[in-house]
Amino acid sequence: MTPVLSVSNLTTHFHTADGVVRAVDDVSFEVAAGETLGIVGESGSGKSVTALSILRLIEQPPGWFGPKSRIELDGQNILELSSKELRKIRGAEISMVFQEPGTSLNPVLTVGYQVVETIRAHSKISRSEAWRQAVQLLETVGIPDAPLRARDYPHQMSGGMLQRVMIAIALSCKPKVLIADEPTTALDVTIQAQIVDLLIDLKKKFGMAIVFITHDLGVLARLADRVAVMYAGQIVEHGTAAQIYGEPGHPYTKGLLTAVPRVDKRRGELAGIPGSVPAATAWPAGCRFHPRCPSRLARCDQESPPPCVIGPGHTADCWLHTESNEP
Amino acid sequence: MSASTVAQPSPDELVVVKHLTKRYGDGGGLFRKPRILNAVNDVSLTMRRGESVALVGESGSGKTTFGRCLLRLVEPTGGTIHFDGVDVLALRGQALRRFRRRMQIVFQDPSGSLNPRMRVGPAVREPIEVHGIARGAESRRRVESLFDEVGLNAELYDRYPHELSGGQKQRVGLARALSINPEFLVLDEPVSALDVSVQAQVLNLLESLRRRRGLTYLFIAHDLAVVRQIADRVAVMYLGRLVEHGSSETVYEDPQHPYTTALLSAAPIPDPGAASVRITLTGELPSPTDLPPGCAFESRCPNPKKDERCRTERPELEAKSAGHEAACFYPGVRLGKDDRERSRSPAH
Amino acid sequence: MNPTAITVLLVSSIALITGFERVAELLADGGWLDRTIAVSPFLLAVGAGLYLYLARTDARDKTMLQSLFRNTEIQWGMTVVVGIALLAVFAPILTSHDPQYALYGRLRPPSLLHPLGTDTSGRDAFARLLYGARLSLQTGVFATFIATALGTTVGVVSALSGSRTDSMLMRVVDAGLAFPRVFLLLALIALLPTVSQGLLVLVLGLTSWFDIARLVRGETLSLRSSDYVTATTGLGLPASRVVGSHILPNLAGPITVSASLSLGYLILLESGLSYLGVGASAGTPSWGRLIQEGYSQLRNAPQLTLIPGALIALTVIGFSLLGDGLRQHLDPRKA
Repeated sequence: MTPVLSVSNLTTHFHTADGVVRAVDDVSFEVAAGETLGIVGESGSGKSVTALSILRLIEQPPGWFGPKSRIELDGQNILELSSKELRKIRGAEISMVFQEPGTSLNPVLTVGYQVVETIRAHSKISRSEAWRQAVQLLETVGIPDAPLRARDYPHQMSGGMLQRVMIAIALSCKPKVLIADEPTTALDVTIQAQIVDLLIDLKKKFGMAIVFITHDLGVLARLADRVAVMYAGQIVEHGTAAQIYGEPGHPYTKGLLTAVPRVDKRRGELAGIPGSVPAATAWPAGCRFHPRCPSRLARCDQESPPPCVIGPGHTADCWLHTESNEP
Repeated sequence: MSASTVAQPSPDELVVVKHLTKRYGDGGGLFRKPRILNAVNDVSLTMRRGESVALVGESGSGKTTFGRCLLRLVEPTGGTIHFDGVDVLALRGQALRRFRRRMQIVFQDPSGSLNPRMRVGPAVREPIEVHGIARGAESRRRVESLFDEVGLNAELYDRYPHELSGGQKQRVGLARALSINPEFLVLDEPVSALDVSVQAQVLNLLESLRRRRGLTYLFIAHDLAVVRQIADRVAVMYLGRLVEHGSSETVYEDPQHPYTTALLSAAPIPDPGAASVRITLTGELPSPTDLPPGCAFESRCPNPKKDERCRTERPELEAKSAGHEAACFYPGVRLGKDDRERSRSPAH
Repeated sequence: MNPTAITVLLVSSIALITGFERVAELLADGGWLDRTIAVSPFLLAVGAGLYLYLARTDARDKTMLQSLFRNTEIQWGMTVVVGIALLAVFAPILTSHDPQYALYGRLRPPSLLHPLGTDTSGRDAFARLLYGARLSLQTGVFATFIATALGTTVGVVSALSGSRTDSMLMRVVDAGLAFPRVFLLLALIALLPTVSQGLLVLVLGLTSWFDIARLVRGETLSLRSSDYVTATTGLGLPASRVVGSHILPNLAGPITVSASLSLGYLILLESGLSYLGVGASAGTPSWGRLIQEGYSQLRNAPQLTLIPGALIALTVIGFSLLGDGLRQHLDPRKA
């Protein structure tokens, strides 16, 4: 299956007064149409920067893309497009939903107008036709009384409703890829569940690929077909959801899974991961996880491990697996 | 003891709260009638010594306000709070200040809870010296032992908060709260702002501290998975009211109130194989200043047995079994086709 | 390359080189203050030099002071302010002429002996400029100090008291802000025959605290609702400690910004008033007075008016840059 979005060797650094922040280092992944890729990581993992990089929403300077980085959408490298071509893609072929719906929407414009704005930015249709489409979109995303609510201002709507509006805006031009950066983190649990259901539903209806970024392993389990685990700017494990949750290969992934409390059963003492994420200006040498790793080997602080295949389509960057397999 | 001591509290009941209410309101403007918000509405709860009681709810449930009322960081509008037999609301001035030693709070946001201009060592030392527990070298030694107890390196004593990680800051907040040896801790979403791996460390720490020091916790949270890990008893709040209350196991295994069931089903499980029934709540949240006369949850309630009574009459907490109460006229109804069977699914 | 350090080095070196004999004199028969002044250019030059030498090797310093200096506006603001302050401090070293008494020929053109020439009364303009700097800066600093102390006190008290006291105090502040300050000052001049410099300082200070009070009240209110201040209540700490250790240190930032901006403005105001003849007696130099005195000679000895004028402008710009830079530095980055 040819991927609709293909990211290879993405490297994003920031040159700041405190040194070079190597936020994303040599990250590669693909998403096929209709597939949901979950990118999971904690703070400092580089997942948000990865999302922003895909749409080139990184300010350069201080941002900087590595020369080998490629982000291919249907064959075109986004990193090489002119700003005019880039504008055509943003919102239309790839669109993004952010974490805080309250601040992502303009408070002085009605929500309906904001959907219309995006529609008319990418296609030449009349205002009334655009409005009709906007109302229909709002209905599709589950906003009750859509014709009426379209005239509401953001402050009149709840967080969950606003996020639905954001999704409506994102889907207004039928994009091939939807990037969602922690869209449910700021929402209550019951609303979060609704939004996740909505996304699953919309994926079936529209057939777009979804890149879902989060720190919440629970949410991802419901939603993702494939999962990439990020730590310290790199992808340390990559596989299907069943593989990642069922047979995690990387010690970090294993650590995360044992650290997450579960609502369906009480666990004994939660085995956390000792230590904390190192500063992005000074990643540890060799495997970046080695200072916190319970299964550390001698060579882990010397060389960075390559991706090792541990199952069909399942790779983990860890020296523990080199004895068994190397791609 | 003062004359306002509660009649015959049982000795192991440490904190007894009855009918606590916190009302915010304005008198109304020239053209509109007064708006009243009952952030906490007639909530009664008892915490026994050594227990960990969790207060769960989503935003707007009033759980944070409740916690702050207990410590009188917010003054309640009505109800009573008795701590070890003492009427907390009757205390004033010096007596109140001295009493505060017995109960402390740990906040949600590690960055906001520490004075950015004060080094963390002196910040933990300050209450020790102010309350006359120790001075000079002795107080410093106590701080170092507290740091050790919460898992902080002693050399962090002279650091400023912005030089520490989220987990470390939260530990400092904990050390500060423990510095004056309280018996009761209100933990207001203490791990919500932390990464998963750090969260686990802090939860483990909280548990071991509780056991070692014999503390009593009121654990305020919105994350049901975290709560299951740490709580002996669970109380569920919705729009200022207590809707269900019981031991952790009974509430999780046999929820009585439809809101609790919905909440539990909405909580994501890190296991793609776990099929769960999504009980989707439809309908809008009523405006908190304009609550309907009947059950506050009625507008979104998926209970098939819901009827007119729910709209007009307010259900009170009723015991369904020993120590398990719910405020619902038709509790314990199985919602959705299959329920939470897979709690016995293949373990990790 | 830190321009402030460079300026310190330059000015101190120039002072030492040109004023060598005066340094010796001061050391020999001056009091302890004079001797301190005499020694200072040497110490400052060495200090600045060392700093420049050490700092050129590494750009990545983490101390809070260093990060402060990365802001361009702060850098240049500091440079100007420090430069002018040094001129004032080194006055006795940079010139041996007396600023007050007419000892030299009248209206002499600028020369090596009199870098700015002499004024209509026969006083050395350069000496008057330097000592005038002292007066202007002193006035500005003390008046700002009074205004800041008063404003902070009222602001904190207002924010932490009950709503009645708060409202009352804020109405007073509103009244103060509404009152046109310049008119009050002019009225004062009209009423009193002479206004001493001290009285001027007092009046300036007492009429400038309103802005700061409002600012401090706002900041204190927001601090009061922060978690760590709430924690102090929970910990049972007494109010004095809460204000002393938790509120005031966190007010330091906004207060410093406000004070820097006030300083510039007050110096300007003082110059305007001394131009009108208010303040120190005729002999004592002050920049405003220098402008007034030199005004009649604008055609043939423009430097008498223009140089003091330029310095006033420069000083105000310096403080504005500093205040603005500090505000930028504090605002988005820190809590």
